[in-house]
Amino acid sequence: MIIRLELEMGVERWLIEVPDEVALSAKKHQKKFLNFVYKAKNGFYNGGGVCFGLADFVKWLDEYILKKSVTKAKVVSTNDQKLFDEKNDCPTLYF
Amino acid sequence: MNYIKKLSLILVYVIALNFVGHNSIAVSAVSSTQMQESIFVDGVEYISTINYEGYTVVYAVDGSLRLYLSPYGEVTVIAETENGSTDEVFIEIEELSHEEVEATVYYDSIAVVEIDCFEDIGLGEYTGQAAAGALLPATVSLSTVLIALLLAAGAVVIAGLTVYAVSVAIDIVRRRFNDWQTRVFPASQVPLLGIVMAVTPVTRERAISGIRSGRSFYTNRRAESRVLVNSAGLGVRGPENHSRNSFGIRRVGVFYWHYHTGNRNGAHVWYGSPV
Repeated sequence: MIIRLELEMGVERWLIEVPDEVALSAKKHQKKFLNFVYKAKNGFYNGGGVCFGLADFVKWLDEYILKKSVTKAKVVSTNDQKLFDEKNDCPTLYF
Repeated sequence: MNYIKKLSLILVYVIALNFVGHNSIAVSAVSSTQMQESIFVDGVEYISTINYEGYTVVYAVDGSLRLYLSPYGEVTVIAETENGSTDEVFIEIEELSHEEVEATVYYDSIAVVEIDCFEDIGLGEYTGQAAAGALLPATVSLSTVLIALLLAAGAVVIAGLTVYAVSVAIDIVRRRFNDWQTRVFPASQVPLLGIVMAVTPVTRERAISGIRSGRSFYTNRRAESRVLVNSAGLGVRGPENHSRNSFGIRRVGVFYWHYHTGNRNGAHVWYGSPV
């Protein structure tokens, strides 16, 4: 199932394909990812706040949520506005 | 008509800008020196500036043409005709950004052209100054002129509201409001250009309600920014910025620190200067 990821109002707009059970709990996983990012030991702090991109989220999904899964998160498109708009019925995560 | 000649002259400037590329226009728009920009076309000087009330004004030094863009996305072009009187064209802009354009051109209160995509503008058809006259009254050419000039002035219209690159707007609001540091401005992210914001502030109540419904704002101070997001009652996360990609490499564009609501509803409250 496809989910839409949007970083800072269009700085990055990605479509990724993940197993259905991950897509259905996308919001929950996003929250877990942000908790991970906000832990100083994970190295995302940069000048008083955190700095990350969508690739970090995809990498985190593969390493933590889909660790034991054969199917990993697949990037379908990066910054393809037309395709992104076409998939407007898919869940969207705002970063 | 004389104003047609003048507009065609500006068109040459637009063509020149296109050789440099749209990105260059965007980059120049964030420079505070754009508060007053001189444009020379065939010896005629045009000045592009943003006045005290937040209007973008472009005028020919010889007085033959004057363009006003209101903070609400309305454009009036006043041109001197051959007999010394003036002629007026009114343009209503719904959307004007690097990605979208939606505008209606009125002459004598009658809608003469509706533009809803960049293809409508047909800049590629232009083959030189002599041909420019033949294209007119192609208000399409006129709109091309407007787009380039508005971008050069650092102004973009989003949903009928004129917004400016923050570095340009800060200078304006500083002069307009003594307590500008605590003001809240509707803002948006435009690729490459960075954060653009309205010159007219909104009340805190309106900003808080906007944050709840996923809209974004800019305020000068970090503490203000955090308090605003917190007041929306949806939790607060940040500060964050996305100036570097996952490999630590600097992204192209202008980025600001910002806070999000805890539930990530799409709202941002940016603050301060670029990272």
